[in-house]
Amino acid sequence: MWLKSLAAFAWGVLLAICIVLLSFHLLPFAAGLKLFIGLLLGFCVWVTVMAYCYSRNTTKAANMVCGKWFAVTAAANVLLFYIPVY
Amino acid sequence: MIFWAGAITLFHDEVAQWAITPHHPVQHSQQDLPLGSIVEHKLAEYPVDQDGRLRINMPTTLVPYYIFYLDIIDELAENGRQTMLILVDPKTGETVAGIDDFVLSQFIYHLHYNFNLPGGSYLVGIVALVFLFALVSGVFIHARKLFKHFFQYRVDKQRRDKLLDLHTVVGVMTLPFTLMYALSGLILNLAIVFQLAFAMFIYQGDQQALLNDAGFERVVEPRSSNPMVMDNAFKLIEEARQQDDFELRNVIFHHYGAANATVQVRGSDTARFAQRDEVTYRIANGEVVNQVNAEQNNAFRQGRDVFVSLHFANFAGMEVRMLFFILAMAISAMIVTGNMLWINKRQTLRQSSPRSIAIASAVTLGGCGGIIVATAVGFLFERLLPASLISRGDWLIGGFVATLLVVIVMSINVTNIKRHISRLLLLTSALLLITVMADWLMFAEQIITLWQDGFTAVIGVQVAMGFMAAIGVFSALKLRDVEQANAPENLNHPISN
Repeated sequence: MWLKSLAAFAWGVLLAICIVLLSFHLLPFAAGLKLFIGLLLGFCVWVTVMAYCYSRNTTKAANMVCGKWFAVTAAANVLLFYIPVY
Repeated sequence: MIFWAGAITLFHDEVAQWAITPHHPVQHSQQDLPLGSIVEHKLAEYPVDQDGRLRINMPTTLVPYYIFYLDIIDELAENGRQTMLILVDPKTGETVAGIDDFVLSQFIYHLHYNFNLPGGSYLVGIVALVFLFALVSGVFIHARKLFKHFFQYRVDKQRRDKLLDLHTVVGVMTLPFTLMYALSGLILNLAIVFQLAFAMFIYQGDQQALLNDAGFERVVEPRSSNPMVMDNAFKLIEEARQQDDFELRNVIFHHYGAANATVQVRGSDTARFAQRDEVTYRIANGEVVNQVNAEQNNAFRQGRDVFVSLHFANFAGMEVRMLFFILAMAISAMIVTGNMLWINKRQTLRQSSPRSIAIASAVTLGGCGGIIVATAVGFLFERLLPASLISRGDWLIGGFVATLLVVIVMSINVTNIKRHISRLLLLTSALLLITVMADWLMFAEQIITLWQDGFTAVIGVQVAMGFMAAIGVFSALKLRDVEQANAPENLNHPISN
């Protein structure tokens, strides 16, 4: 249970950050609004990922799925970083 | 503990008025001294660091003193200065007390948002995250019966059903409220995670650019060596105060007394919900450097302010805060029943260790019961300790923490839970009643004068203490009745009775 809790917390924060950064790049709003949306979205994603991890039978199963999503979102972020937004 | 302290913090200013004003009544009939002359006197009185800022909170109907935040030179401090808070009588200009002298309301507030620990705000942020997670998972678990069992509370069934029903009924009914509190708590305490991510990956390490986009613009410039008289600043403050639909809350000076001094005049727009109204002036020529109001706003700042207003329930009157107080108490009960259900379930599992169950029981019982008794001790100490006592605040905090620890230790291996809770409730009630009696024995004349002058929160807090004492006695007697009714089966069943 402790391992699963640790995985849920860590994958939650990592995926939340990736998705929040993506939303900042993609949303066509003013910076202040994007920051606020990002903040709310970030906490919601974090908790959703935690709930998902706890719903899996094993930590390994949670790691596999979250790892894949992290790879996809992190890669998307890296690619988008080459498009100047500032 | 967080919800309990948060519930009391809803009445932070009322508790502060109850604690301070009987010691230092403000002469209502007397005229206020000009703010400028009070500021000059205070700056001459204390070793103020010129590079620091000066913040002054305005007197309110609840706390009728100026609160000065002075950056004082302190060679032992990390950056050579520390912020000192003092309460100043607006009629006489005298320093009434250091804010640490009457620490109860501040201590409970800090307990709510950082446990009075270094880095505690992040810990509370994690607790808020777990709370949001518990809400989401609770909704998933209960989703099928959400509407069917909306009002179900089985009083005639076995104890587990009662606990479960109390947990779910309170959980479902308070869901919008708890979601708001979990999210606003996260925004206030754990936003740092996303702030760092934004600063690092979007703003390439430029924190100030991020803060500017978030509506927290700041003028950063070195202090000018040319001195300047500050009279214009107080004219600007007075002009701002006279505006329609504007409630002045505080002012912040940067580089006070220098040619490039600025003053930030901060308040709220009383005609709108959660609308901050701020303007920063260059004092030398009255130029507006920065402004935030209904027309010139930032979405992030506006959104955050809405959550902050909801969190502190400061958007409406006393009635809404009382409703929030009742809801917060109900949520505290929901959390305790959730804990008890978990402990009960663990007891039925073969592999669970009796030691870990005993610790969880002691923490649940001792922590929850202890915080209630400790709060009553805090109120009693706040009233009984002499105002001139050195380190008065430390004595109060020491009494609070010692009481909490003693109750936790006393709650280990308790065999009869109901009798234990009943005793704690009676002790709390006795402490609260002694506090009210001490109020009248020590300050009867001042309390009556304060009431006549419109400072009704002193008696209001006493009424609240009397009401809580009555509830405590009633609940204790109820518990004793139940205990007597099924006495033989009660023994040797920790937490399950």
